[in-house]
Amino acid sequence: MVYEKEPRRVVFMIDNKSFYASVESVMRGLNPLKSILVVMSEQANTNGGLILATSPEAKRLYGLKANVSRQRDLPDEAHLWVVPPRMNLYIKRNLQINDIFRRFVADEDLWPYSIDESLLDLTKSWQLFGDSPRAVAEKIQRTVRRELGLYTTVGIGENPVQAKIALDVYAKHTPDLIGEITYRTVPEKIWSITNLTDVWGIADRTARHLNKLDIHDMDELAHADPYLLKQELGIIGTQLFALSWGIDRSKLSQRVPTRSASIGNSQVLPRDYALQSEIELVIKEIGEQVAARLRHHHKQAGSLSLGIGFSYAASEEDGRGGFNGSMRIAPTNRNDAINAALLQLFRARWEGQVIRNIAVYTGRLSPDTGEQLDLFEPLPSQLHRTDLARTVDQIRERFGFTALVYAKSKLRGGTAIQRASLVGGHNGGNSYE
Amino acid sequence: MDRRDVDLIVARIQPLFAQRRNTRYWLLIANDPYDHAINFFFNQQSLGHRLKSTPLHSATGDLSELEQVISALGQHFQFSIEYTGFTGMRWPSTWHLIEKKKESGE
Repeated sequence: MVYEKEPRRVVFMIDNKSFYASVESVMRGLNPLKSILVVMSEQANTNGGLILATSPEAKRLYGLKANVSRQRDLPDEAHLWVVPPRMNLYIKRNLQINDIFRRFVADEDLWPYSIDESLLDLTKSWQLFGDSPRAVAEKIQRTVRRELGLYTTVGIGENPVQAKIALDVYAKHTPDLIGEITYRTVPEKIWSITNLTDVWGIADRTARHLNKLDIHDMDELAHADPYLLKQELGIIGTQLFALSWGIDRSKLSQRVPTRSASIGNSQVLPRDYALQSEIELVIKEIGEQVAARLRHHHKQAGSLSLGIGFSYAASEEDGRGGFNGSMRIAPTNRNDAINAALLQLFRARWEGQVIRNIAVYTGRLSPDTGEQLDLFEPLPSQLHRTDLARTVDQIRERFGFTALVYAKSKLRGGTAIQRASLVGGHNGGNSYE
Repeated sequence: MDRRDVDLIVARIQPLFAQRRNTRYWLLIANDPYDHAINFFFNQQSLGHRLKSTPLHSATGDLSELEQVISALGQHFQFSIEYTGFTGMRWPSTWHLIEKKKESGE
């Protein structure tokens, strides 16, 4: 393979070792690498508890691997600390960490990738901070440790995908928490990976698909016929082939403009819901939440989709996991219009199944510049409704969601009040600063 | 740190303190040098089971203020208190070491 024309940059992918668990350890004066601690969310819908993060030592002692496992998989052992999540605190820490990264790169060369991972392009700046990229990585690690008490893991590559694989496959298992891949070391570092799902971008389904093509490790992927891969997997096939040769031509500073994003919300219900009135209550609550978010972003939605997931027993019986429906609507962000469409979608498809998941998504977003008036309703009442919704939004923005809630949310089955303090479905911890 | 911090901590302990049998309850007070704050936690552990640690409050202030907060808390509860992150530091009034024994994970 000729790599001469490939971009050669100095890219770091940095993540925080067991981020939530480490933050909680540091807050308690414990060393994040020594503490035996898990962060467990105990919301009503987590079925006894969902483990969000596990400290390295707890992983080692109890063989806890994947994050997000269940409370029942957790040993009941006296050395183990169980703490509730504080999502707002983790967001604050993530911002502080990225502020530290900004001392090493310009804004356009920093790409926060997730709550605990960031991609940095140090091509232009690494020489200001050390003799080698590795020395700069160590300096960043020391700075974060000194200022926030957290350990970071660094993957170094000549492009983003090399850095990501260096992080996932190597950095997490070395004593200095740094992994490095270059074009020169691709055969040794990437082709030697025997488990396909260890690689970023390959999950179980893709791995099974590749297995069917008689591809079982990265070496076989790199030496497969790229035309066959494209034929079988489409554009993803070509991408995976490039990945196996450590090739990635994306440039961080050239941001890809995203098409109008969709706005939506979903939730797992705290128990199985069988009554139509209770299900529709939650659908309406989510519909109102989505409408409020549309108004906040000054958007109107031209299409709506509703996803319903059945309970475990109901999906066994039905043979489907649930159903989805979507429809075009006249562009709007009004609660009543959105809820009317959602109920129509629901009633047309629901056949009495017991349900556990509800998702509402909007699409075809357009700027909220005017309102489509309805010929069959007097003008003042239409305007009044819009004003009312905006006033409610303003009150909630100032005093919080629960300052003003619809009486229906107090009915049996409503979830809006309980969920108001959650971030990403887990305890935000706002009341505890 | 002042009276309001004490009230807040007391109010947050109350719903957590279930007074179960064979269960140990205590306060963890951590010196947090990164946020320049003192963090308060409510720990509980039933005999032979997992330890549960719930955040109560985070406040800024010096050691003499902390001393006052602790004596005010003592009027409400008689929990034992575990300190972390205070290695080598001493109480201003008595000059006793704050943290007598290091926590195993420290």
